[in-house]
Amino acid sequence: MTASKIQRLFLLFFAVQILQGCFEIREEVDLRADGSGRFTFTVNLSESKAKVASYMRLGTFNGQEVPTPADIEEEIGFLKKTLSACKGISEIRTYSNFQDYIFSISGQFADVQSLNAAMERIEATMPVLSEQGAQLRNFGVGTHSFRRYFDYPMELMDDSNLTTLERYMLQQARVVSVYRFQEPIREYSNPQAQLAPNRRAIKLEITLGALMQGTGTIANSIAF
Amino acid sequence: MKNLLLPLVLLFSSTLFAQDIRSYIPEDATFLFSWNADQIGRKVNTRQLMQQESMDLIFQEFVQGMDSLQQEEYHRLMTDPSTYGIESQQPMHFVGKRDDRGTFYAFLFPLTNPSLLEDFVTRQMTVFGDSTVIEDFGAYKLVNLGSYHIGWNNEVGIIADGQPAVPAFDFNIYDEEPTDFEWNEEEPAVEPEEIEEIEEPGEIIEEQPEEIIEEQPEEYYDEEAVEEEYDPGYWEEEESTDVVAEWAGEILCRSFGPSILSNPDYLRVSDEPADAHFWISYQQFMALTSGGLGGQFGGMSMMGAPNPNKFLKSLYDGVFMSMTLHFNQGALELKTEMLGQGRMVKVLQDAYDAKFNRKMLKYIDGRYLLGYYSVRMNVEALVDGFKDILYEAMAEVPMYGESINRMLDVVGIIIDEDALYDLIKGDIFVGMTGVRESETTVITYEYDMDFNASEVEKVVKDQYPEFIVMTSYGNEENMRKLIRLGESFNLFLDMGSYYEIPGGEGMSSYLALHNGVLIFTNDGGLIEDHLSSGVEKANRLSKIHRKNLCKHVQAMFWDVQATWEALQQTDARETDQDLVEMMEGIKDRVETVSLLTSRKVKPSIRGSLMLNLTDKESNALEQVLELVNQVILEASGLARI
Repeated sequence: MTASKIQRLFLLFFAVQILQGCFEIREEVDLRADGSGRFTFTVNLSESKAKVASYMRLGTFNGQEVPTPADIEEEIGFLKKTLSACKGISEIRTYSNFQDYIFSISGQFADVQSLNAAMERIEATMPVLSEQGAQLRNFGVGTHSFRRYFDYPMELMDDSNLTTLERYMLQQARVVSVYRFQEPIREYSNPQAQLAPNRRAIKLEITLGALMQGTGTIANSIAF
Repeated sequence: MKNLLLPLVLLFSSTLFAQDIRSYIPEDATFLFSWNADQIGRKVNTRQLMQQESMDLIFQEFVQGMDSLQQEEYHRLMTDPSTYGIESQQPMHFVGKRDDRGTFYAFLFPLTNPSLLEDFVTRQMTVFGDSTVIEDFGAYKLVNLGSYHIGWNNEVGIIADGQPAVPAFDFNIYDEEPTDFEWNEEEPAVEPEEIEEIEEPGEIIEEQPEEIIEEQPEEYYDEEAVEEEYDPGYWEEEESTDVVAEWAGEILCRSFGPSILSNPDYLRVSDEPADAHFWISYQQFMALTSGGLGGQFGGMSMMGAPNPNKFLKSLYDGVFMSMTLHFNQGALELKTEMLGQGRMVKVLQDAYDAKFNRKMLKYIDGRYLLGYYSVRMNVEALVDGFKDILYEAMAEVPMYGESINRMLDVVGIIIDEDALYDLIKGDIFVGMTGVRESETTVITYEYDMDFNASEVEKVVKDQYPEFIVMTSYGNEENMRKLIRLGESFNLFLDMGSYYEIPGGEGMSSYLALHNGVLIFTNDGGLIEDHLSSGVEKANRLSKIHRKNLCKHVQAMFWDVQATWEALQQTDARETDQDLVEMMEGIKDRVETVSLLTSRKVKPSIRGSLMLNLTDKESNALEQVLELVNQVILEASGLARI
């Protein structure tokens, strides 16, 4: 039941994407020298809030049930509980703004392996990912390196079948990753990333369209 | 396609007037297209039009494979048809006819000198081979030139084509004489013989076979026997050319009964000045274009269901449609007229007896009008008219008809028809009155030097088309019941004097009932503040639009230029490129489009479609042909015509 509700959340995101398109998903990881750190995942539907509110009021979208604010709170609570139960994960905090439809979850991790295990546990609750039997990798860390993997089981999309509106919407939706370190970054692999002036933070912003068409990726190998 | 090019060429090359050859057109023609070459010739320089590049392309395609002499001949035919005895200064006609024998088409043109035409045809016959001959039937001559026929008498020439009807499947082929077989029941059944056990074989001595001489059978397939036995019976194929030739002969001899000139309705409409005229027998045309809805097989009737052909016949028999085309300076007009004594005309005449609700006018903002559509009907008259026809159609099908009639009677108990007619008045107005801007506050992020995000409020402006939809109602209480139903599904929010359909900041729609008018719009200001008074008088619709709405049962208007300007204010270029490209093509040529159906419905139901073009200096035909020329030239590199 909970897994299907999470899927419904995803459905809502993609429904919004198709019909309004403008939203942002942001992941932030602050990595300390000892390998521990802090993570934050944020979903901002503010630019589509009118549509989201309408669909929530109607209760359905394209024949599918749309979660209510109570459902969303319940699911966020489930995520909090699941993450809190993961080894090496602590201080889970959640944030919900039903006026602007901004939701975030943050916490501390003891090491990157704990973070990966927690993410795998969450991904296991999503049939859309787990049924495909995918071995999803998220983060990797070495002596002087940090790595973001991205090999999610997504079929690359052929945009020749999309309407102009759909293409436009996919170009408006954004995925942003921000990683901060205590050591200065020596080099990184993803050419679309931006390095902070102090070289201790790196930001990558990519459109959902580029991600789904395979012309861009959030994967990045960072060396210190 | 090639057999149609010659008539097209002649259509464009003809310029003037002469004798009336409509006497060669049967009264029961399915459709008739007439081209008033004289009138066209006075409006545009047809010779100049003939020299367009696209015409040259068509011509080159047509003469491909011909030698230079033939090409020259066809060029002369295009530019000066009188060289071949064709009276190029008269109306020409294209007629279609569908009957039991098949579907036929013919292009008729007047002649001044049939022998010149015959000489021309004779020279072309060498192209089609030795077997082609001109058959002389006395009153006329006819030749089969492959896929079509050319014929002529002293007055008129004809190019005819067609297809024979596929004969109906005769189920009676299986009604054969039963084989004589007498079952003698007195005879006992044959008892099975006992099966003896097979003894074990003894020594098997293999004998060498003698030499086998294979004898070749003389004839194992007796073709004559097969042909004797084979009796098509139910399937007789006629050569299509025989049927077309027969029909062409009837036209040339005028042996088809009364001509179309004996139809007073046709005479009345065709005598009105027009550049082109299209006359259709509605019922036949529907049958022709839909393949007869089961055609010769009448498939549905095989299963006991009502035969759609019969239903269509009862609806459209005796109904004709007349369309006249007028190429004016800077405008193209198509006038239509539905006439005749058919039931459909009567039903529509009764249904169109409805008045425009003038109370709607005060809610329409005319300042930035993009377009509107309005239609109204007398619902009770429409339902009664179709009910009678439906009952009659059902009566034709005893298997289902009686059950359906009784079912309708039961439905009639449940539904109070009078209450329904009182609730729904049968009119609707849809208008696009401009572009509305809405502001939405959204949260975005700004990043510091370490890429730490901080929330920032941003105002986003969006443009939406402003719309208004109105319909009249009778019983307000019943209408409110319907709306409360919508409320129960969270579609509407009751705001007291109106209902809101929430859509976020600046994107809500509103529903209001006031004085017999139901209003649905996204103009919140109108509903919240001006529901009683309406739009300020100075901002309402202009007089001509008000007049069109009141005097026509159907009125449509589209301001293409205003729509284009409104589109520029939106992000359509990013979100809907196809729409933008389409509009770009249209706005350069068309200023406005309007469609009107007159409220005056007797003796006929009249309508008109008017395209006002941006170029006011040149004739509409020139502009249309110039457009066609461009399209053909663009496509010429991609596809051959």
